[in-house]
Amino acid sequence: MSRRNTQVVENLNEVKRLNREELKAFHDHYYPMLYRYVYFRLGDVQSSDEITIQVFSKLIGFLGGRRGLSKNIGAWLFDQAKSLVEKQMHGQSASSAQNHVTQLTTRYISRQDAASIHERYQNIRFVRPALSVLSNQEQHYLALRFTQSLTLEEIAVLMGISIRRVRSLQVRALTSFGQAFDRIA
Amino acid sequence: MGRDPKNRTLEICVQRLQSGEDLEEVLESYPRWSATFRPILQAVQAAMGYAESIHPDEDMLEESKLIFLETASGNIDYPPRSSRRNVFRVAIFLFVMLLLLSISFWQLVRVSSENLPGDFLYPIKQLSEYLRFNTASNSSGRLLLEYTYDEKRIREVEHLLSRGESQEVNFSGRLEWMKIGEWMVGDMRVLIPDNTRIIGEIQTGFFVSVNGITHPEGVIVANEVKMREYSLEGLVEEHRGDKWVIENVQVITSSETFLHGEPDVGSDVLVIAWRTAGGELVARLIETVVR
Repeated sequence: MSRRNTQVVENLNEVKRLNREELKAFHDHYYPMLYRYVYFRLGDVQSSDEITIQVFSKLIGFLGGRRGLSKNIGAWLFDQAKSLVEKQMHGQSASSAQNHVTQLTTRYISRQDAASIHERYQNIRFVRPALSVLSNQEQHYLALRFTQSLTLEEIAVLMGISIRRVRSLQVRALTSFGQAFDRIA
Repeated sequence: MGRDPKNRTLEICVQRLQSGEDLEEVLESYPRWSATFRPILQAVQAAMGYAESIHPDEDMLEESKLIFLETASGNIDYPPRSSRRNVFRVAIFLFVMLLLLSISFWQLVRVSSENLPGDFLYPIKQLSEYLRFNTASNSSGRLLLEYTYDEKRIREVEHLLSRGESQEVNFSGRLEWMKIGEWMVGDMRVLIPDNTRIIGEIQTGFFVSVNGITHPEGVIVANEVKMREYSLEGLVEEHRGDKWVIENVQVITSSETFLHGEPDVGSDVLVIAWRTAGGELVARLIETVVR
């Protein structure tokens, strides 16, 4: 199944009709999207992978039922990811920002020049602490906005709220995030 | 954000940053909001850099996929099974519908068998006869059905006349005699007014077809009269003198029979014939058919 065909799958019920090859393509399409979302919020490779796998496992379990199968597939997946992330955040230590920096530096040091590494280091060093002062809803919005390259309309669909509410949320999230980032940086 | 120009401008600035524009260039475009937006857009730029640095490991993706497919194989009905089940359900549904329709249709046919021209279910009776005629296995079977239907039409007209009803009818019967303005067809008086359309040469002693209106006084006023023609198709099985056997049906020829294409034993032929009062078929045409 091509990327185009994967996007044709709009609701959970349609996932049930996919054959094995189509399920592979479905997974390959959504795994990076979910992983990037989770990592943006948690900053940890291991947790991001585990949560992404959990989202897919929950999907299979949910498809075995009969209710709610008309829901938008993207909205359902990111909603599950959001819940798992927030559950994880309750027990997460404050050292995850440094954790990400270490992982990033280790993985990319051979390919990136020193200036780029430094820039990324600065980004990560201040971004995650600044994000942590925001509400869960604001973090959710910013994670969708910056990791998925979505329009406001698409984010409204994923979050299951009106475009008007998304705009209002955006203003609050960006302002709070900017203020927090400014203080920390 | 909606109507607030400041919020609209902020959204535009974020979009420009996301499309790759430089932070300073973006801020220069909106000097009024520059100071307010700078920390926000710096944070946005940092968040974008952070997001861009996130890349899932290929090994993790493959491992996740294996787990996903393994879990799915035990929980999701794949299309082939699901499709077979759906096809089976549709087949059962169609079979039941077909059965109900057949039962309903044959019930209607049974009820309509006693209907007369003008009755509500009479078209059903005609349809069932048409279907039966067209599904007859051979030419002689179709010919026998034509005889049967001719008899039925006669009885229907007799019923209508006995009830004194006025109704358009089509029937065929023996032409016993002809007088000016009145003929006797199948023991029924048929009035032939001047405006009756008489097709071809009509001969007594043969079957004729009549289209007309039954009259309460017990007569039929004819609109159109013509010789009743029967058709027969098949192989010539015997031919002796004026006697021919085609598909087990005997046909005789007369001096007026037109033979076309040198038909003989073994030929595949089409026969158009008249029927005498005694039931003999007198061929008008015997034509070889090339298939």
